[in-house]
Amino acid sequence: MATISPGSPVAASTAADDLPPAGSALMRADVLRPIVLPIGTALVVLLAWQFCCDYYKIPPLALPAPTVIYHTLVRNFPLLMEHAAQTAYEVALGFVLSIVLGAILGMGIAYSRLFRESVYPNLVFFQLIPKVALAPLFIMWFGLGSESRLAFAVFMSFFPMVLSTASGLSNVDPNAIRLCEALTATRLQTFIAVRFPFALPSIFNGMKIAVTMSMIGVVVGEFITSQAGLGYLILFAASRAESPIIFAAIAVLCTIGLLFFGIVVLGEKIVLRWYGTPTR
Amino acid sequence: LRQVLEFLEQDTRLASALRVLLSILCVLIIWQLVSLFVTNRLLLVPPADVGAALVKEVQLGNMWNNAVATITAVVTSFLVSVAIGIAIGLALASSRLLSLTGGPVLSALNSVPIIALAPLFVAWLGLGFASKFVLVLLVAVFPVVVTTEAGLRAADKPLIEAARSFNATKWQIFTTVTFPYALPFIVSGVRVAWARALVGIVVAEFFGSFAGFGFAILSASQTFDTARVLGYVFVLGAMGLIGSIAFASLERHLAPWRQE
Repeated sequence: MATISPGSPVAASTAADDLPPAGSALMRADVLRPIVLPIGTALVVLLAWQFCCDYYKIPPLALPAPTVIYHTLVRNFPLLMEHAAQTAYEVALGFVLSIVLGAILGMGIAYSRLFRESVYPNLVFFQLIPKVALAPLFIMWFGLGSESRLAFAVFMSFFPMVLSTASGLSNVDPNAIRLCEALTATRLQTFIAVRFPFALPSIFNGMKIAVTMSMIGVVVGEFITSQAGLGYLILFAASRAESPIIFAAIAVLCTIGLLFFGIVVLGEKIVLRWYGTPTR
Repeated sequence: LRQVLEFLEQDTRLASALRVLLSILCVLIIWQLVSLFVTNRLLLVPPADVGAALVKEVQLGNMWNNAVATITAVVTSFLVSVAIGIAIGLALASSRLLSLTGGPVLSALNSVPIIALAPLFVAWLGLGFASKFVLVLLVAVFPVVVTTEAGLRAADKPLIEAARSFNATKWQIFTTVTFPYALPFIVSGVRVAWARALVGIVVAEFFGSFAGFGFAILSASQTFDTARVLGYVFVLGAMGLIGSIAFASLERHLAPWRQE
């Protein structure tokens, strides 16, 4: 993901605010619209899915209906939760470790020219390799246990953190830095009062990418090692052709993913409000 | 020696390419030296062995078989996903209702690990081309959609207004203002999509194939042949690198004004 840099047009994309208001009465309730429309679409899709399954009598092996998936989910809830806990734990730990590693490397890149010029090109070069291809190697290095998945998750997710921390710390308003220098602030003071708060939106953008990557890392690791976790459950169910379990596990996986993503977004809101940094 | 150093510090394209080559060479030498001391060949394989493994794969013809399987699948799927992505992006940018209904659904899908669906596609579509194609399509399409929409939205308002005051039709505005403006955005999305497509193909091949780089990596790792694993990883890395450089230069070419 070397190519997604925070602050690029991709990151600052879907701002739909600057559009001319549409005239239709359906669109009038400005507040409800962003909530009602997506949920409505999702419901319509689910209903259509259910209808197709019932009407065309699609065998549950090929595509189980939403109700079937729901019943499977309820019936196998303890089993799913057991594996989900394992997965969620590894995703969270991998995410936190990658934040720490990414912040350290990012600060190194932002503050030291030597470090930037010697390490950064190598990091970027490494990003061009499809990292998933290295997953079997991590198993060979770290064994079948949790460590290999954790290491792989960190490996997958630390780079967006490095990139966003580095670019956030270096793209600070030069006027603010000049003001700090004029007020004879130390480097540490400048960091705490200016650079870090300014970098926060960028860092949170990196975190949003990193949490998804950490999730992918753990799931791919579980696909390959097959000991426990939702990835293992999915693969196991696939080998026994139990499609409803696969879908139930994927639903749980999506919930975990959205939950972590939501936590990051919430953290962003709280922290940015606390700092009072204007969001663009 | 000083002359060499001075040459390397120049700002020309040749010098920067040489710098990159030099740092890669340094990494390779350090790697080779370290592997003299770390003798556990499961952990660390010297680059010379990796090269030897690659040569052996080429001689056996495995490389060619795997390359054909992987490249046909990834390139077809990548091209289709770029086309579909641009189409969806255009639709989203042109209709507010569509972008409000579809946008959140798309971004929710984007944040979900689609890779986790790999075993399912293999179960549905069987081992081989079809399951690879669909999985790559699903992971590669999102960046193109997002950047196409963002690019079309980002077009300079004064330029559009100027075109409008010259009585340009909607189609004319699209072809002469918004689309050229959006092109570099789209290409940057395509660049991300290529990287993602490579990830998608590798995962698809881990589960659902009898040939391809991902298959070769997994089977090599099951026989603890680290050199062969790394050899194929390097081939994949080269594919990623070539794509990235090509699209980056295309982006620069399309938008000379967007220099950082």
